[in-house]
Parts: sequence; structure tokens; C-alpha cells
Amino acid sequence: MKKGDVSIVLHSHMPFIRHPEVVDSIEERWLFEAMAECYLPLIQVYDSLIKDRISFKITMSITPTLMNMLQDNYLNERFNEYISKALELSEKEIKKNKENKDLYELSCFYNQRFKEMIKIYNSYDKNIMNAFKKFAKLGVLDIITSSATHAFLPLLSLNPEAIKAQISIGVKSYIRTMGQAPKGIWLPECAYSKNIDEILKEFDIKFFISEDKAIINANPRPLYGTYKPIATENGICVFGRDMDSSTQVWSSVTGYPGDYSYREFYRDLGYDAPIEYINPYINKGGIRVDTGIKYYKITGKTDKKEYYNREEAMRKVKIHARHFAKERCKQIEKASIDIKDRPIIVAPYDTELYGHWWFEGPDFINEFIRVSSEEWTNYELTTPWKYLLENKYVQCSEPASSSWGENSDYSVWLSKSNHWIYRELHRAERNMIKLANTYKNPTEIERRALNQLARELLLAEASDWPFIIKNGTSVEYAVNRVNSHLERFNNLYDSITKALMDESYLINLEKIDNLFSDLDYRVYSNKYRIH
Amino acid sequence: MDLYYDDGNSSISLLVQGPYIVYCYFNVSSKDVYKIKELYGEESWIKSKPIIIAYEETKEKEVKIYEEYIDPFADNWFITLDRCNIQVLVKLCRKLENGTILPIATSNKVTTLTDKESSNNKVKFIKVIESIQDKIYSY
Repeated sequence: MKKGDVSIVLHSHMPFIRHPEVVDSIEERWLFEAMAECYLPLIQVYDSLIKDRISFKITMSITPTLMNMLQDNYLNERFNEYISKALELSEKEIKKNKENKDLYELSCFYNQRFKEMIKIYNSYDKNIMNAFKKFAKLGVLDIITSSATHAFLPLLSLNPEAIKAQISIGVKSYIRTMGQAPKGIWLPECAYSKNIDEILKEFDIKFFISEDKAIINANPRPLYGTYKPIATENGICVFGRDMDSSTQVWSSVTGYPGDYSYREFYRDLGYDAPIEYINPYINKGGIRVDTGIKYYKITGKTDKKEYYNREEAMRKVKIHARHFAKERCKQIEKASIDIKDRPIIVAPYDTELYGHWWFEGPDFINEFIRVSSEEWTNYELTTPWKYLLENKYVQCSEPASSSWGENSDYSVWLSKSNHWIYRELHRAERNMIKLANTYKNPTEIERRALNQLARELLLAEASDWPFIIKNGTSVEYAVNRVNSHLERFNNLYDSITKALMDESYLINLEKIDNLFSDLDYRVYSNKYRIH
Repeated sequence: MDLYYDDGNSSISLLVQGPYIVYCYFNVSSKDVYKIKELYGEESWIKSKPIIIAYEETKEKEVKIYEEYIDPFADNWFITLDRCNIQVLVKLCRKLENGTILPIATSNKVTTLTDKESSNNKVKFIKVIESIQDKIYSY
């Protein structure tokens, strides 16, 4: 008998990393790797489940920047080149590795895999959103939205118009692609602060996902912790992250992805092969990059890595998926002693973990869903929205301000390394609001410039930049992104206010930072209403 | 010269980092520096020290909970408080040699995060798919 529900939520996000102005941009590869290793394998999983008539429900948040990029012609052409090159390299590897049985088999595996991904990609007219839209239409996938450029909203609270613009543009972008309004939203980094729910209500958002602390420390104290959603006074529901299911996947020490049989992420042919051999398959500037061909398994805490064994890894996937399902059953069993009307376990993850960082991740999702459909399990797979439709009465409680970052606070996005961003962002936001309130009847070129100003501001606001700076990964790139968008913003601001418009400059920016084509800068006006 | 000069008005903006840490950035306008010099003497600005004072706002009153001299060249500051889940505002001030504190700018109010479970056990359910007025019961 089914006593409760489990909701897997995959948060799919990439910052806007479209760089037609750069030859063979390295950052664009972040997107291509996610497409080839995460999104297409997940599509393959969903299609296989549908084909095998496995009943399932899953939720994905697809951020507006990612949705825009997945439908962008330039980026899709570039992806085509990327995956074709990967296929070509795998063919070369098959020939090269004929004498080594293990490597030969692995080369064949990658060759076959790239062929399959290309086939899936082509079958959806080279537009990954076509696949996700199909799954949504079939009712197996619930797609929710996010803020326009994944801004860390609580840190924009000095200018509520900026938060409102982020949400408004996110919702509008979703409607344009999906053809209907979103029911739920992924608040970037699960970051919530009081009063954001008022803005969500204005845009008819019904629920969002939060860190567990938002529920545990909510006021009044929720009766059932994260096993039940809570609702703000405005009727916006909040589903808290279940930490048990999170730790089993996320933990770097005990998490499944660290199993020694799984593929080693950090050994890629792009770094291992001689430069003269690999040169045509790395960055055109000669910088070594990941090729997607990785021959080793994690093996253990050693530098002497053994060859990856696909069958062995798949055996582990089955063990881990079954273990994950059993653990959820135990939780539901225990929770249902106190909660008679179906406890829910909400398990949110970054989609990019599945396939990119954890190569076998999509196989794990596939296996977990299949195991979940077996009779013995005591839960059903659901989505937050479906759950609310079936459980309409929700305990009213104000969620605690929090994020899913370290310490559940805002310290990752506001630290000694990245605090400087906010002074500049807030100043630009004030200027944007001022212009939106001033220019009520702009000329055509002023209108275009004002819209581009808004795009540059939105792009500077992405939470990715302070995150990258704090974690010290691609710091120069992140700093440059903040500064370049703010510089473009300031240049356009001067052009408008001083009536010195350089149209060629504007045209260039419109081509490079081309997202949200129907953006209306008046969204920043303090009189703006969506309905 | 100290602090961060700006041609506009002096201002201080406050953000929350966590339960016990808030962050502020600020600027002091040349207009305010001039005003202080005019009122308290040419040397008054150089001889005074920048100070940040944080206040907890309760329903009844404003209580000083933090005071710290800051680096004269700083234009931002992280402030560690000894309590969480409070409404806070900060004031950027100058302390004159005679102990007089001159407020330069007052920040916005923020509520710091909580790291504790609520002691409020009131239970109320609402029907969320319809309007929020449609509350069925509370106890």
C-alpha cells in the first residue's frame, strides 16, 4: 500500500554563456557538455520509461537563461560541431586502441554513445526543449520556472523592483516557450527572504522549493518538518529539501557518485593524450579541455586509476538505486506513523550532477524510477503541483529566510571575495528603475537601448558570478562578466541620458546579449503590473 | 583623505549574510565632509574617527547592540552580532575628539536570519489552491 510520495526535482541551470564574439569560447562548452552528458541522456531515460510503460512523475526547473540557450540557433550549430567532433575523436580512438582490449571496448562504448546522443538530438529537430515540452505534455514531467537570470533574490531586496523584474521576465519567458503559465518556481539557490512570496503571488506562482531550514525554522513551527509543505499567509506553498535523500547523493564522502566503480571525472583524454594528437579536438587556441572521453574509474584514493568497466558501474547503479528506494520507504514508513495523509519527500538536485559530474547519474534516475514502480514500495512518485492538487490544506507558516548554500545562509553569495558586486548592482538597479519611470514614451532607438540596458543588468545579476568568485574556479571570467555587463549598462545609460546614442554599439550588444527578445524595460517601473 | 567619497549624498546600505552577520557598504559625500568642517572646525574631520553603530529595532524602541571603529579607508564592513532573528539598522558616524558622535548616514532595516526552531506552536491550516481567505480551521 502506498503511504506517501517522493518528488525528484532536477534543477537545470546554466548562466548565459553565449559568446559569438569569441572564437571557440571555452565557456560555451559548459553548455555543450551539459547537453551531451545530462540533458540528452535524461531525454533518453524518459523516452525509454515511456516506451516501457513505466508510470512516473518528475519535476525539472529549467531556468530562463538555459531555455533561451537551448533554443538558440547559433548555440545549436556550435553544439552540432561539438558533438560531431566528439564522435570523430571516438572513431579515431577505436582505430588507435585496436591492440588494447579494454581501451578498444571503451572507445566503442563512447562511439556508440555519441551516435545515440546525436540520434536523439536530431529526432527532436536539434532543439532539446522540444523533448522536454513533449514530456510535459505527456504528463510525466512538470517543468517549473526560475528568475530571469538566476539572481540571488534576497540580496536584491534593496530594490524590490529588481526582484519583481527577475520574476516577471522569468515567468514571461516560460510562457513564451511552454505556452502556459508556470505553477512553480525554483528560487535561485533556494534563496528566500520574507516578502518574496508577495511578488510570487502577483505572478500566480503556487509553490517553490526551499532548503530544509526554511521549514524547520519556520514560524509557527511546522508540525511535520519537511515531510509536508507549508504555506505563507499569501498562500504560496513551500516544499523543503529532504536532507537524507540529499546526502545520499550529494555527500562527497558517502554519496553514491564517489563509488570506486564509477567513472573518474578528472581523467579526460583532452588532458591525457599528446598535444599533437588531441589538438584538433580541444580549444582552437590550444587550451586543453574535456573531450567527454574518459577511460578510468575512480578506483580509490590513488593516482593509479584502473580502466572504467561499464558493466561493473551499471551493477553499482542497480544496487544504489535499490538502496535509495529502500531508504525512502523506511522514511515514509516512519513518517506515516504521525502523518496519516501522505508525507512527501522532496529530493532536489542540480541536473548537471546527473551525467556530467556523476556520469552514471541518468542511469541511476532510470533505475530508481523503475524500482519505484515495483509493488513493494510504499510511495508514489509525484510532483509538488500534483501533491498540492491532492492535498489542498496546508499548514500556514512563514518560512525562515535561507538558501541551499553552506550554513543554509547567504554567505556563499555575500562574502569577503564577492561583496563588491552588490554596490555596483544596486546602483545600476536604481538607475534602471529611474529610467523606466522617466521614459514613458521613448523613441524607437531609446526603447531598444532601454531594453538592452535591462538585459545587461539582468545578466550582471546572475548568482553564478559571486558563486564562482567565492569558490575560486573561473574567477577571472566571472569578474569579467559582472564588470562587462555593468560597463555596457553604464555606456548605454550615458548614451540615453546624454542623448548620444551610438546605434552600431547598440546593435552589437543586441547581437551578443540577445536573450529575452520580447523584454519590455517598463517591467522596472514601480507602476508595472503583469495582469 | 579617508572613506569613500562620492559626489552624491552620503549613504549606507545594509544586507544580511546570515543569522549573526550583516554587511554594509557606504559612501560619504564631500558635501557632508564640508558641513562637518564648517560646524566643528577645519581639523574636525581628520581628527574624528569613523564608527559604525548597529541598533536592534523592537516594537518599543531602538537598542544599540554594536559599536565599532572602522578602518578610515574602508567603504564596506562586515558586522558580527551576538543575536539572531532581529530587525537591525546601522548608522555610519564620526566620533569627534570630545566624544561627540555625528551621524552621517542611516541604513535600511533588515531582519537577520534565524538559526533556531520557532517556539510558536500555533497551528493553522489554509486551503491553498483557492484564495487565502478560505481558511478552514485553526487551533
